[in-house]
Amino acid sequence: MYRVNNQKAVRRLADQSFRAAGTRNIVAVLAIALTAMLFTSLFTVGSGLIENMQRQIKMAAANLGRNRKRTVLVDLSMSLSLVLFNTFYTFSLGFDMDKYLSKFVDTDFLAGHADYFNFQYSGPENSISESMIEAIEEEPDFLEGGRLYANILDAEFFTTKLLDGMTTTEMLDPVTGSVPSAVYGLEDLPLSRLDVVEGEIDLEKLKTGGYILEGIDEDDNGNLMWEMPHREIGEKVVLQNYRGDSGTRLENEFTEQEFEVMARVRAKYYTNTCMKSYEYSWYLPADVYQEMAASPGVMSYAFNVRDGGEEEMEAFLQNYTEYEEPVMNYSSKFTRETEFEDTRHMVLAVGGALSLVIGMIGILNFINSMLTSILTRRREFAMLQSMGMTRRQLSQMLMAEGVWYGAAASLVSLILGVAASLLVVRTLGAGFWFFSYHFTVLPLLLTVPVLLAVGILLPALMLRSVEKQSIVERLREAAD
Amino acid sequence: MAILRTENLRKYYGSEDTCVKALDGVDLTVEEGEFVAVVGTSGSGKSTLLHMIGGLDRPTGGTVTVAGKDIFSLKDDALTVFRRRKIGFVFQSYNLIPVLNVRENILLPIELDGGKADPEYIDRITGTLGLAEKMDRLPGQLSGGQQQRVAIARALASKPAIILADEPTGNLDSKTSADVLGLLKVTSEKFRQTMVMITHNEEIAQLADRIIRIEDGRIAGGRHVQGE
Repeated sequence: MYRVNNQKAVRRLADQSFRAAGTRNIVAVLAIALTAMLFTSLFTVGSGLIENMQRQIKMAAANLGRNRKRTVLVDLSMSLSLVLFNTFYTFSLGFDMDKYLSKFVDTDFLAGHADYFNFQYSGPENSISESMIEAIEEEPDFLEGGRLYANILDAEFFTTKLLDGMTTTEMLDPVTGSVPSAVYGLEDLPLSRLDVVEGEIDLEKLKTGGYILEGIDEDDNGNLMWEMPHREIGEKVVLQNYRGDSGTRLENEFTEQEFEVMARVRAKYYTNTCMKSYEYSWYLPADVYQEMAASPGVMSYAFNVRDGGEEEMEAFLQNYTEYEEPVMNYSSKFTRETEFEDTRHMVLAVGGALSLVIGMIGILNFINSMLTSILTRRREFAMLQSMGMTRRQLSQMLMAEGVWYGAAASLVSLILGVAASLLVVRTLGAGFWFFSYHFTVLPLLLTVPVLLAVGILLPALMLRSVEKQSIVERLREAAD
Repeated sequence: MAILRTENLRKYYGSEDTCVKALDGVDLTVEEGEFVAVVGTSGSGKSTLLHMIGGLDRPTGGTVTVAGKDIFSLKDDALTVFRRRKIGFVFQSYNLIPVLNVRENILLPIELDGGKADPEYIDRITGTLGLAEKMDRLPGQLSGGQQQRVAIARALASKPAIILADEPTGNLDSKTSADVLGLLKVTSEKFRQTMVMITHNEEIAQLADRIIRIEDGRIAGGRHVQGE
């Protein structure tokens, strides 16, 4: 499930991710600077030109008003693709890596028996092997690690004694009449990674043995299910199990142990539970736990590596779990990150492709509209030229029209884009647990100069083709 | 002073074998302040002649001198500028820019030139042409006759050396035609404006000071109607 088969791909992805992070910033800064410069120069040149071109600009604006329906349609179609892209872009931007990762990983890596990753961990029978732990610890980039102990379905599994009057929806253990529960013993690293949601952990006190942490499950969106736990902080809880190494439950010794709830912690499905949901889940320091079972099962081993050592460790683990101890497995932050980034890129790619196609339709619409407008006005242009409008003035008028189109399209895109971002993306994104909405109109702003440029250049080019006919020919043609 | 003079003006289309001689050596002189009508049937070359005089098309040979300037010695842009200052056009139709109102249409050539209008002169023109109350209307809101009046006003506004009118009443009914023609005549006299009008209609031509007939690209004969 978590295997990455291609070392080269892993390396390449790592490289790309690294480079992308760096260049993303540079690109953003450059884009903003360029846009700013472009705006400034356009504004300066523009205000100068505007003085000289008053008449043409006014005529251009009026010309746009001639066929209002068409102008609006062309505007909308040009804006649509931009709005679409901005929407997809905003959506992809909202992919919150931290949020995503925090659900699945607490540390760089988590290793365990394959059964654990198949939601079938039971106890010592499918513990992670000490040999693997040793091998991991021997790796040069290894930084720190800790075991998570649990006996879930073996002979020494735990039950929580029900308080008088309390009921449970779970099936009671027929022998004790109590509720089968998950009890975990955490070494220092996983212990330190616990997310305390109520109360405080006094580590020294906790390690003395009379205290326990209550685990609260999360729902799919990462919200704690506060209605679940049954003990408040300060209350007592009694855990029971049959201790011994006979291998058969009832041949072991029945033991009860009382604890006081010190604090409540988040039971994170993928990182510190056996990946099954229990009505009662409890956390203890490893030292305390190890006293409570003759054969403590090592459910998983969580560990971190030095910065930059992720790739090597990933490669090592891949190799180890493929050849050395195939029955073992692992999950890594790295693969999760890559998965997530891939999904995000896919969203961007789909959005980009869609926008491109629609964008081309928009541009074609614009070209068509402009061309038709120019062709139908041949006569008028001829008349204007006969009255003394130079080619340049005519060209300026058309360019002004193009700029009006471009400006109108930009404005419409901005308005619709903001609306779509707020209404569609934010609402839709809220339904995805790994989504954190970030507002952006960067793509829209970047395309403003493009739209203006297109608006200026296209008409000028098209005019050229019309002008091939002399004035007289056009006038004559018109007169027929 | 001759405000317009053409010498051996020729315009040929096509190659040696299929040559169409639209103008085949036209010599013409128009004095300042004259109202001249050029009459001819379809295909006689009268429109071509007008286009040549107005600098809208270049001749195959010969010269056209307007206000002392050999217009075809000018390059395209310079010619365009010359046109807008020195020549006014009134066409049969499609004279006005639909998106500009009457005032803007009248002032257009002046503004294209970057010049300033003489408001008093404009008022006199529009007064004479009966447009004073319509200055803010759009062409679409005017009748055919009114549109032609605006066209005339526009042609007059820049005080050109010569106004060229190509069948100015061609699209109008008889009553409106009479109105417009009358105005052409009046403004020509009142503002001492030289006018050359093209028509195929003999009756209309009678209004002019002088009639020039053109046939097969050549002047057939001139006849003064009144004055010199």
